[in-house]
Formats: sequence, structure tokens, C-alpha cells
Amino acid sequence: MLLRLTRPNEQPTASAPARSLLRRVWRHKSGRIGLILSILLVLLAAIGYVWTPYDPDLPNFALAMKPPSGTHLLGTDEMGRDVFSRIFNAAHRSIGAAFLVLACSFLIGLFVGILSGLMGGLVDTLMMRLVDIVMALPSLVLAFAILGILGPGFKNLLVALILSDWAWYARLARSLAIGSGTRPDILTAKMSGISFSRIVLTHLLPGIATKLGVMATLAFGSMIGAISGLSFLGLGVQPPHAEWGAMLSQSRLYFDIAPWLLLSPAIAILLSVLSANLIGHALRDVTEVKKQ
Amino acid sequence: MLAVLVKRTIQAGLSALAATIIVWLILPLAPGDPANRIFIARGIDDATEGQLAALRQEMGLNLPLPQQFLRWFTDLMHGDLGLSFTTGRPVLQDFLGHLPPTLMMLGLALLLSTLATILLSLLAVMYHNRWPDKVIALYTEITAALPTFVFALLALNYVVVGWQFGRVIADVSWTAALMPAFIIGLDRAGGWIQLLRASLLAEMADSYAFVAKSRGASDIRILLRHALPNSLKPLLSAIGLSVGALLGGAPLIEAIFSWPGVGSYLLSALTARDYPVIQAYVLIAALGYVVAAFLVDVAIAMLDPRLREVRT
Amino acid sequence: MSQSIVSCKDLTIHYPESGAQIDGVSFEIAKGECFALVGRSGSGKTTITKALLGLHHPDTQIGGQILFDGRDLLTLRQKEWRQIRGVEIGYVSQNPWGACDPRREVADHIGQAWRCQGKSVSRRQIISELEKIGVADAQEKAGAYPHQWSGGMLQRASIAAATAHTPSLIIADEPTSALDADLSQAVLSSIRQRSAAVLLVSHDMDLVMQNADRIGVLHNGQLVEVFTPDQWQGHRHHAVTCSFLDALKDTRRTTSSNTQDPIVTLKDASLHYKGSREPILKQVDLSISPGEIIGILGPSGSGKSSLLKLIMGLHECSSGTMHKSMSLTRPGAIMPIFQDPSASLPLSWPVWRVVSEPLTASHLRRSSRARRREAAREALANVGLADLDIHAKAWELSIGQKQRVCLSRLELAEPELIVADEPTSSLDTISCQQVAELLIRLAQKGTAILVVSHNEAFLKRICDRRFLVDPEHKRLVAL
Repeated sequence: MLLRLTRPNEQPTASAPARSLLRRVWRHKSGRIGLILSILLVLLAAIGYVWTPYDPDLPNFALAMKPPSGTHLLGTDEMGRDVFSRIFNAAHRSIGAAFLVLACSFLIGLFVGILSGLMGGLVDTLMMRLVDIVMALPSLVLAFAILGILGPGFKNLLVALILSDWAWYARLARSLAIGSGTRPDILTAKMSGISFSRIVLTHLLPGIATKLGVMATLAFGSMIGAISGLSFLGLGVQPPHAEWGAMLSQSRLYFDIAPWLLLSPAIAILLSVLSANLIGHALRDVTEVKKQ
Repeated sequence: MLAVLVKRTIQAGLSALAATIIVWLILPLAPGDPANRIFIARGIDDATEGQLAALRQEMGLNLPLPQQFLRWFTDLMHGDLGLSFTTGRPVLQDFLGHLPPTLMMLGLALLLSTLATILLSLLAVMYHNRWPDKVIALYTEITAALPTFVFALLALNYVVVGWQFGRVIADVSWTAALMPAFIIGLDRAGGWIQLLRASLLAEMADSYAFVAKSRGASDIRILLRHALPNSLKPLLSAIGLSVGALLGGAPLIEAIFSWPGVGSYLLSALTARDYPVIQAYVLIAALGYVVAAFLVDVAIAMLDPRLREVRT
Repeated sequence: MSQSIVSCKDLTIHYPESGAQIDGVSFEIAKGECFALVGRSGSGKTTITKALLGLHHPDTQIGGQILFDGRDLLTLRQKEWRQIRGVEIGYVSQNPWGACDPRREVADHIGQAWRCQGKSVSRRQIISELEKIGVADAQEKAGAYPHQWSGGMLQRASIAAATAHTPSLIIADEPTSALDADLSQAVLSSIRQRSAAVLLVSHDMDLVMQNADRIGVLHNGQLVEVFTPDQWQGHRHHAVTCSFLDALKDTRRTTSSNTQDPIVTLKDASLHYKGSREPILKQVDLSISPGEIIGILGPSGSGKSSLLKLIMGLHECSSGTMHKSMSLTRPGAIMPIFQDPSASLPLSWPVWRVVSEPLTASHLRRSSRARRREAAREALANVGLADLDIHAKAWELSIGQKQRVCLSRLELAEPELIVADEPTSSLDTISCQQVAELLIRLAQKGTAILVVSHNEAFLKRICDRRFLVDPEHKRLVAL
């Protein structure tokens, strides 16, 4: 007799239990909504990268400040540019940048953390001092400093965010790797003669990567916030290129006469963060195997 | 216990100092002539070689790096954070002048959001899975999906400007700070409620709560007397982290509310590339973070008898 | 009818998410009686206690009838419930530390019994209650925090609180399972002393047989049998009852005379923590021969686990010698089993991969996946899990299944020596028995086994030789 655990939010079904991670997220109620939403957003961002209804960056002052209509779904901005095309075109920049920063932080953190946790000694001490130093600065402060000194710009923004973000992942990965030598499952593998590299690859790495992955997914919202916030202040994406935060910054001057300028990028940000949060919560629920 | 706390705080302070040093190093090591950058900061794009040489002499930029560092560091230890490139005034003085409005607004925001968090979380747990809980959950989901500055922007434009609810002012007073503090507080509270609600629910499902119920205790009694005090630890840690996030996000928040605090000061320095100001901001934000973390640690230790006991 | 304090008729409890938990259970508890409910974990014991306290989840659907002293409990409103709980029905929980708010003094914990009924209580009264139930230095200890108390004493303090208003029924949910065996009887006696009727939920058959007037056996939400302790022999019992009663039988195996040379010999060995001068254990003399099961009994923290680590080669002895035979030098010759099977398995792996992991050791030839699956199937059949879907993920298994999967994995490494660290402490009686049988089978195949446990009955059943750790002198004493 096979006793299966039923988890909250997971309907017990007669069909085969969902075993792959993706399928389990799909079975999770909020995870499914998040997955659908994020697939749509990624698709839109990909299309917006190659094609938009109008040129997103070309001003046409004759058409400035037109409210939403059949020809301009979300209206036009103060320079007569189509807001829908700009939102569409900015998607790959905003979402892509957040994804890039998180992926780099994740990889650096994973590598540094596991190395540090497994090697211990001087390497560990030095690495963790560096982590402490980065984490001694509140989030964004380091980014402000780096941008202030290197100057504004999209590339500098990415560098600044990666430099201030990786330490969180490194610390988590290290805390999971350190002392893993006495973990029962790893000890058993060691005693049965499995090689060190195999143990690291099969026992240690997947678990740590999953935990860091959940953390990165849940951090997507604050990363979008940082990127659009810094662009809002003019430190990130430079005009004429469209970015959701930068669009918000231009639009607030015209709120009285053109509220759609503010609302469209805000909703774009809301939807992308929401989809990441939904997936993140589902991932967390699904990967947290509760002890009996 | 106290010794552990003090040691940890000193370590954190040293890390903050090290961070400041690293940020200082970026300037001389970054590509380009530092002297030229300073002139650009002062609005002079085409400084002559003579002017550049004079400035290098004046600022000690032609000294070897270790000596420059020593000079900067001795000044720092004496509380001298240098002169602003743009205004020529001492940076520290400028900072201290801009600090009260920021502390006012952030302090008020933290206070308001702590109150809102405790009230709404208790409400959500008392009405677990019923409509008040669901409304609160919706509110927390929305704040979680909106970055602070977007939330602030929407709240400011729709609620304050759009519906003529409150007023937008630029004078610095407690009443003026109330509106931005309220908006920021509401945004912060979203994440904290998720945290506190979850830990309150976990406490209410704990075996001691079950035993208390079996003795005839009411849910509210268990909630207030046992679950709440036991759930404060994660909330306190979150508050400590939020102090950092708010210090880091100050430029953004203050830009939105046209609030004349350190954030606005930093922002003008960023556009002018006023490096001493940027460095000073890093130092002050890091120290503020250390102090907040220390206070949180002390509060947590005081709440927990198991930690308190170690001290004696 | 008037003689019974509780009368459950056709009780049915459904959870909306997971279906039926209790399926038509009827029983009665007479005034002054001790009625015991036994059953495996998940059989519905806790569900019944919650229903009797009215503390089931609000979404739960309950059918049938629970009469308590003539009143139908299922029709009560919350307010009425609060006057019954603690006043007429007392509750003693499993873990004494878990029963207390960790941030409040024990006096507060006891005083709660009065205060949440709206009555005031003086500190002196609390102290006198503690003294009555046999707590020494009650004056001083009342102001201490739960974590500063010993389990046995704290459980007594909890009993004092549960019986504060002399209830006519006490529900005791595994009241002794967190305590050392010698304290169990004393704690149960104080429960019986202070209350009229007791509903005892337990899977400790020794305790139940000694204390209960009648015993009900729950299985999959049904009460399969009710019997009295003197009926346990000579009667035909339900199969589930039999498996519980088996735990009582003295099935100690006959000690095989060991003529083979020992594979591990410890002579005058001492153990230290790194950097510490205080020894954990000293002057250990121990030899282990093939096919032998050796048990080590002792309280937690007495250095039992460190001894296992020494033998596994993870520690060095600080003085004395350890000699291992040549056969133990190959990888996989010494294999461990641990207390928490969930932590011992990579939970996200399919079962076949977990079980056949020893085949991927670097000293062995690479075996194909098909070969590994075949090996896993055979090994699982050996531990009685032939029906298990080998593609199931480890997290899907029950805790008892997980421990058996651990055992089948270990078998594939073909060990000469097994070191088991509390292998049964997270298992229920029946899983515990299965593990015992599997260990005995392994020993009969010639594997030496060293088991560390605080479960004396378990060690008595399976071991050829037993030792006790004397925590005061930090030495091993043969039993």
C-alpha cells in the first residue's frame, strides 16, 4: 500500500501523481495562473523586441497626448509616440534585465557559496567577509554609489545591481553547504563509496539550486522595482529608449491630462511581478517537503 | 548575550567601514581623469591643463594612492567627510541639515506600518479564511506586486491629487510628513502582514495553543497573550531590513513626494557626480543600517527568555 | 447507560480535503474507567481526541453522536464548549515542553487553567498544586521557564493544570512518549490519581496493558476490536491487534555462539570533542563479530552517536586503540542508518534511484539504469516493499516506508557492519517491529550490527549483547 502525502493546495487526484517540478507547479492553483501569465508576458516581450505596431522611439508631435483609441490602444505620449508600442518594446528591457541580474546573482552566489561552504578555512573566511561587506550596505545604496561614480546607463545599472545582489545568494548557498558533510543522506552516500564530485553534483547541488531558485523567483518583484526605480530617476535606461520606470517618470508630469501614461506602465509592472510572485509561492509550497 | 550582540555589531560596523572604503576606491580606479571629472561636476566641461594641475595640487590627486587614502581616512576618522564638489561646503554639515526631514518621514512610516501590520494581521487571523482575511490578503498581494515607488506614485496621483484627498506640500512638518509616511507605511505593511499572519497562524496551530484551548482559553486570549508575543521576532527582523530598504530607497521616495531630505540631496549629487556626497551617503546609510540591526537584535533578545538567560 | 461518562455512537468524521478519517466508531467509557485507544499513526486516534474536545477543524464534517455525561457534545456552541474544556474534560498532551508557551514561566502555564476560566489564582495556590503532585522546590521552579524543567516534572505540572478543576474525564494523548521509560508509569499514575475516567491514547503497549481497563484498537478510522488486558492471550484477535500484541511477546532471539573473529575491536578507547579536554566517553572496550547485534542504551547526549562516528571512521579516538579488520576497509563495508528517514533520503529522487545509489560508487563498474532498477526492485522486495512503485518520489512515502527504503539501499552496499543511530525513534510500534525484523534478518546473513537507542524494549528484542552508557562516569556498562 502506498501512502501518498497530500499537500495543501494540491488536489489529490486519481491520475498519476505529478512528479516533475514543472508539473507540480502547474497543478498548484496559483502556480498555474503564474505560469500562464508569465508565458504570455515572455511571448509579448519577444514579439515586442522584433516588431511593434508603431516605431516606439520615433516622436510625432502632431499626435501628442491622444487618449486611447482604436488606432492607439493605449494612447500616445507627450511626444506623440504610441504608448502600446513603447510598453511592448520596453518589456524585453525590463523583464530581460531583471532576469539577467537574477540569473547572474544566482550563478555567482551558487558557485561562491558552495565553494566557500565546502572548502572552509581561509577561502570561506575571505569570501564571507566580502559577503558581509556587500550586505552591510542596504539594498540600492551600493547601486546608487556605483551608478553615481560610473555614470548612468543601462549596462552600468546591470553591473551595479549584480554587484549588490549576489551576496544574498552566496550567503544562503553557503549556509546550506556548510556542515553538509554530516547530513545523513550525504554521510550514507560517502560511506557507500560514492565519489565526492558525484555527491556534490547529485546530493548537494540540486537542493541548493532549488532553494536559491525559489529565492530568485520571489526576488523578481524587488528586482523589477530596482530597475524601473533607478530608470525612473534617470539612472538606468536612457531616452529615447522605452523602459517602464522611465515611462512612469515622464508621465507623472501629465497626470491631470493623460492618466493613461501613468497607468499603462504601472499595470505592466504589476502583471510581471504578480506572475513571478505566483510562481514563486507555488515553487516554495511544492519544494518544501514537510517533515512528518 | 550582550557581549555577543556587541561583538556582532562591531563586526557589522567594520563591514560598513570596509564598504565605504571600497566605494572610495572606485573613484581613483575608474577610467578617466578624476580631476576632469570634478570639473565636469562643477559644470566646467573644458578645463584647461593649468586648471587641472591646480586642482590636482589642491586635492592631492597627484599623490600616490595610499597617501590619498590615508588623507581621506584620517579626515574621515575626524568626522570630516570632505567638501562638496558643487557647493564647496562640508558634506557632513549638508547631510545633517537634510537628515531630520528624512528621519521624520521614515520614522513615521515605520510607526504607522507597524501599527497597521499588527492590527490587520490580528484581524486576518481572527477571521481566518473569511472575508476580512481575504480582503487583507488581496491588499497584501497588490503591495507585493507593486514596487514601493509605483505604489507611492499611484497613491499620490489617484488618491491625493485625483480625489483631492490630503494635499501636496513641500514644507517640512509632522503634518506634511503624514501623507507620504502613510503611503509608504501602507506599502511596507503589505509584506509584513504576510509575514506576521503566517507566523501567527503557525503559533495558533502550535501544540501549546491546542493545550491552552483544551483548558478553555478563548482564541483571542491565546492570540494576544501567547501567539502575538511569540510572533514578533520575524516581524522585528523584517523591520530592521526595511530600515535599510527605506534608506536605500530614500532618493526614489523623496523624488516622488518632493521631500527635501537626504534622498533628494543624494539625487542632486548623483546628477552632478558629486563624489564626496555619494561616499558620505554610503557611510551614513551603512551606519544607520548597523544601528537598526543592533536595536532589532536587542529587542529580540529581550523578548526571548531563552536568549535573555544566557546573559546572566 | 448512566454509568458511562462518554458514549460515542457511530461517530463519523470527514475532512473535506482528504476524505473519511473516522468511519462509524462507537465506544463507551464508564465512570472511573481507563479506556485506551491504540493504533498506528494516521489511524484516527488524534482525530477522536480532537472531536471529544470540540477542537476539530471548523470545516470538518462530523456525524453520529458523542454523549458526555448525558449531553450531546456535537450540538454545543463555542461558548458552551469553553465551559466544558478544562473544567469537565481535561487534556494532557504528548510533549510537555510543547504544551507550554516557551516565553512564559511555568507558573503562568499552570495558572492559565484558572485564568482562562475567568477565575483568579494566587501564586501560593499554584505552588501548593505543584507540591501536591510531587514537584520538589516548587517555590523556586514555578518562576523558571519550561526549557529549564525536566520532561517528567513538566509533564506533572501539566497534569496539575489539566486537573485543576477535577474534571470527570482526562484525555491523555501519548502522555509518556516524550519521557524516559522509567518515568512513564509514575506520570500515568498521577493522571489516574487525579481524575475519574481516563481516555489514554498511546502506542506503548506495555504501558497500556498495565494501566488500561479496556483497550480499543483503531485501524484506518474503524474500531476493529475492544478487549480487556487479561484477554490478551488465548483469544483470537484481529490481525491489527495481533501485530500490536506481538510487541509484547518476548521474542528475543537466541544468542548465537560466536566463534568468528571480531571485525572491530576497541581497547580502552576514549573520545573527545575537538578542542575539548573533557572526554565524551572513556575506557571503552568493545568487540563486534560478524552476525552479532549489539545494542547501546543511554540518554540523549551521552556520547552514543559519537561512538558510532568513531567506528564509521569520522572521529579518531584520543587514546586507546581501535582495530578494524581488513574486510572493513572497502567502501560500503560500514553503512549507517539514522533516526530521521526523511533526512536520510534525497526526497526528490525516485525510489529506484535512492535504493540503487550504492551501485554508483566509484569503485564499482558502471551499471546501466535498467540494471539499477532491477536491483532496486529486488532489494525493495527484501524489505517487504515489493509492491512499491519504483518511480515514486521518495517524498511520497510514509515515514515507515522511508526507513525501509533506507534499509534496502543499505543492503545493496553489502555491508559487513551496520551502525544504526536511533533507527526507530521516529517510527510507530508496527514500523518499529518491521525494522527490528529486517535487522535480525541482516544479522542472520552474517552482518554485524551496532544499534544505539533509548528504546529499551526494542534493544532487548533484537540484541545479543547490550551496553548502557553511564553518563556520570562516561563509561559503557555491560547489561
